[in-house]
Amino acid sequence: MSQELNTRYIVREIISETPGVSTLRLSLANGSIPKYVPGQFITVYAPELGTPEGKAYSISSAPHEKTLSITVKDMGKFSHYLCSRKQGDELEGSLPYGYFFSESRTSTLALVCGGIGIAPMRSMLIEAVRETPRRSVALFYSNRTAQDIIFKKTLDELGEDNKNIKIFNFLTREKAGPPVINGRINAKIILGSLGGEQPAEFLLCGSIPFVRDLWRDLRAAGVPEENIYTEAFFSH
Amino acid sequence: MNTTDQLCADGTNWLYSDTVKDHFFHPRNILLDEKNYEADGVGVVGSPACGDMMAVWINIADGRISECKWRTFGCASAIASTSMMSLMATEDGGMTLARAKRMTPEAIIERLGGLPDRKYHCSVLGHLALREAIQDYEEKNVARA
Repeated sequence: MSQELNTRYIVREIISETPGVSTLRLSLANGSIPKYVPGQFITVYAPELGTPEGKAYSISSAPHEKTLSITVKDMGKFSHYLCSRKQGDELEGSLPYGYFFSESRTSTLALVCGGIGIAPMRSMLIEAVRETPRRSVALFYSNRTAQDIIFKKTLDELGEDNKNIKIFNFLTREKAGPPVINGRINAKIILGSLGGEQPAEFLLCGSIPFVRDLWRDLRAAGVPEENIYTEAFFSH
Repeated sequence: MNTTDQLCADGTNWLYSDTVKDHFFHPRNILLDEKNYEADGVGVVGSPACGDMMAVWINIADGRISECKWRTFGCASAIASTSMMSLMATEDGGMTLARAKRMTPEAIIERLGGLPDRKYHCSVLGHLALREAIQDYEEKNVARA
């Protein structure tokens, strides 16, 4: 894998996921998509906005899908620009890059995310069902309210249709009955849900405080450093 | 009473911990001239457009990182983070490659005594460059095998 190189993407479709969150389905000009591993990101550039360094967005599609998708939360000038693109628009971006992926095909995999941090996890979950269906994968996904759950239908179907996939939704600002868990994700709940399926690999994705707190909590609960990998973003 | 060592120009406390300041003022394992340095793996990440560039050179002995050198065109946080990263990679006989691949910004920041959230990305550069250097080493060694 080499350092990111730039290319031009065409916006093929824009899908509204939840209020303020959109998925941009992209391809190269010739209709193909670049190779990538679930968990990788592309850096998107919009120098006309005065940010020459670009912004990184995790890929939310799986490699076998016909388009490469990024899922964007409209929370600032740059992301608003992306969410305002139209079908057929061009975007300058890097080729897929990054190391936020599992190092194993067999260990129990715990995907822990908050809000828009679901983007790379969707890619990994769909890939896991397709490529390693016997692997135990558990998703621990935190949102403020039920309407904030991105990819809810897809996640529900993945959990219902695959006995090795478990989906745990957490809500922090709204009460809901089972199977939703009220309150924040913590190491005790994660490790308890995994039962005896140890050692597990933990991939954390979300805001910087979300990832930092869970990293500390898992470490305090005895999870070795090398079993935890992280991807965090500045969210305010 | 606060001393000038503990205060910013506006009288508020430093945003940076003593460990961050120590690694910024006294960076460990920095390589200023790589001309005569032979490395088993090299990683370069960053973008001149945003101003942060990072290069990491590693040497491997018995499957562990025996040396981890680096140089950056980055800010105080990038310098301190990468200095700490290089220390963590080589201490106690050196990290195994598998372990080094899983070094996280959270682990580096914890050892630094914290970093402001706005500086989180500075700690990402160092470990990404290390990861690239490991990849470079592994590709060369697969090619030789």
